[in-house]
Order: sequence, then C-alpha cells, then structure tokens
Amino acid sequence: MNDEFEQQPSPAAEDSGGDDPRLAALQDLLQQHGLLEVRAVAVGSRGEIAALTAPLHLADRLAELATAIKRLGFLYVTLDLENTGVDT
Amino acid sequence: MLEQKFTRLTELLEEFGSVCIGYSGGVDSVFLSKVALDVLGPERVLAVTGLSEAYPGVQHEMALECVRRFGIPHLEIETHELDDPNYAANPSNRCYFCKSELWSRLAEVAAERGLAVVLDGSNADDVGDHRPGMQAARERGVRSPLLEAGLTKAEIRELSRSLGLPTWDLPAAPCLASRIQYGIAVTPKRLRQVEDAETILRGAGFREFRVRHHGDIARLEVAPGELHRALELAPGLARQIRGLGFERVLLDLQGYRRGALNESITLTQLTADRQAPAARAEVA
Repeated sequence: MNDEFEQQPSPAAEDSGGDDPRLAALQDLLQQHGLLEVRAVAVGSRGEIAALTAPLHLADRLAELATAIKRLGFLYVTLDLENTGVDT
Repeated sequence: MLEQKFTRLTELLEEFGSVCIGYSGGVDSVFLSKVALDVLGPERVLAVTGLSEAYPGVQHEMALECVRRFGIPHLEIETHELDDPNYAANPSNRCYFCKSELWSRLAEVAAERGLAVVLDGSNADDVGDHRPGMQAARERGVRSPLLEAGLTKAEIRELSRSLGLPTWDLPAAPCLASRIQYGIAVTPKRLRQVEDAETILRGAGFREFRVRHHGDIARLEVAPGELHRALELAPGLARQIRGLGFERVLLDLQGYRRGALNESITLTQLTADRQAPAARAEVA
C-alpha cells in the first residue's frame, strides 16, 4: 500500500489488507488537500484506527480533516508519535 | 433553582435516615458523602470504597484525603471483579458485572451496620449515557439522590466549590478498565499499563486525558487545548509509554472526549460473538 505498510507491518495492519478501500480513499483525501507527505495504515484489532505518519507540523491540518477521515469508516484518527520525522 | 435542588437532596437524605454510600473519591461521591455527613451526622453515614486493580491509585489518594479532612466515616473492602469471567471478557456491559458485585457487597455492609439505604453518586447527566452499572444499582435497590434531586455535574461542582471540597474541579476518573477496548480482556497487566501510562502523562503536566488500550496499541487522548503540548513532548512520551509494553503509541487527533470507547459499541456488538471466546480463553 505504501512504504510505511511494507516496512513496518503490524498484525493489525496486515489484517486490514493491502487493498482496504478505506485506505485508498484516505490517501485520495490527503492528496486532495496537498498532504503528500502523510502515510496511513489501519490498525487496531478491527482496523478501526487510522494511524497517520506525518511531520508534527501537519498535525493541525490533519486534525481539521479528522471528521472527514472518520466518515471513510474509521472510529479514531490518530498520529503515530514515533513516526513523525523526529529523531526519538 | 440550584438552592431548591440542594434542599431536595437534604430532604431525601433525611427521609433515608441512615446511609451507606459507594465512595470512589470522585466529584459526586465526595459531595454526596459530605452533605450526608452534614445532614445525618457521623453515626448514620458510612462511605465504602471498593478496592481492586481497576481502581486508580490517584483517586484512592483523593478519597482518603477527603475522609481525613472532613471526618467522613469510611470503610474499604476488596472487590474481585477480575475473577468474574463475564467482567474480565470485557463486553460492552462490563460495568454491570462489576457493579453487581459492588452493590451486593455494600448491601451486606449496610445490613450488618443497620444502615437503611445504599446510595450511589449518579447524577442527572448520567441519564441516557451508556451506563449498564446503573442497571445493577437499580436491581439492588440502590438510590441515587443526586440524580433524584435533579443535580447535574456542573451543579455538583458548583456546590462542591461552595462547600470547600477539593474535588470540585477534579477531572472525571472512572475505573481503569474503562480505558480497555471492549472485547479485549481486562487483565491486571493491562490495567497496570494504563495506570502507568496515565501517570506518565500526569507527570508531564497534562490534566484531562485518557490512555486507551487497544491491545498492543496505546491511543492517547488529551484535552484539545493540550494537543500542541502533546506534540511538543511526543518523542519522550512515546518512548516512555512504549517502554510499558505497547508496540505503538498514537495520539488521537480529536482529543479527549468522555466515553470515547463507547463509540465502538456498535462495532463491538457486531463482532462480540467472534471475539468473546478469545477474550474468555485469555482470562480463563
């Protein structure tokens, strides 16, 4: 699906499948808003969490899109705190 | 209006005569215990705290502080809800099983001590919320004088402030199991993970927050006004919380909201039959 998915698979992400239509729609939405640096995976036991990988300075813009992202079929919209481009 | 509701509360307590109060140390139960003590006196009031792994230590400290400061007659009992597979499997009505034990135990205490009525701290805002624990209370004849007097949470905070209670602006602090996603078994280890992660956030100065436990994932909810600070502290927070045994640490972009795990109830109910055997096997 994307580099994040391929490099850091988690059981939940694998469960959600590489052809999850929600993720495809999510990537489209992010592209429409010019958020080309953002990657997304579906995690959680039922793939109910959209986990976004993005630089921290994009957090406000992503928060503004949270409701729209939930409408794609996610219960929660989150930022992965360890994949932000910041050296932890 | 508020004065009338407060008067109604005192009238109800006088009608009860003597009371045994479920006492967590939160805003509602501290307020109710203090008013009951003022109305009925120490011989006719007993506040009872149920101790278990799901009871937050920080709330226990507040409960004891109020007992000491105001002279509230107090008893601690151990509860064993985690031994009940119906509770530990963590269905969406988990609270029903916990409260069933708690209110049964309090009814025993009340009978032994000759106290007429068992009370809980439900308030008028709790009506309509997803609260299966209230059903357990009703089934055991537990009364809810704050609710019956029509007092809302905001009004209880206002009255608590006027009474000088330190809990008046305390954030809501339900049991630690409420942070674990429905369908994922409640275990002592997971409860410790939640409590330790929330201790990290509290130590970092956050005031209103939750750590939601989604198995290998910690999903942090902080108050929207504290979101930027969470982002500033992200690397350190993530590292510390991952150290508790989580594989991922995620920050919820919509922030803290009460009952957020209830948002998954429909989905949970749809998949409950599929997940229940696994959760039950885990706690067996």
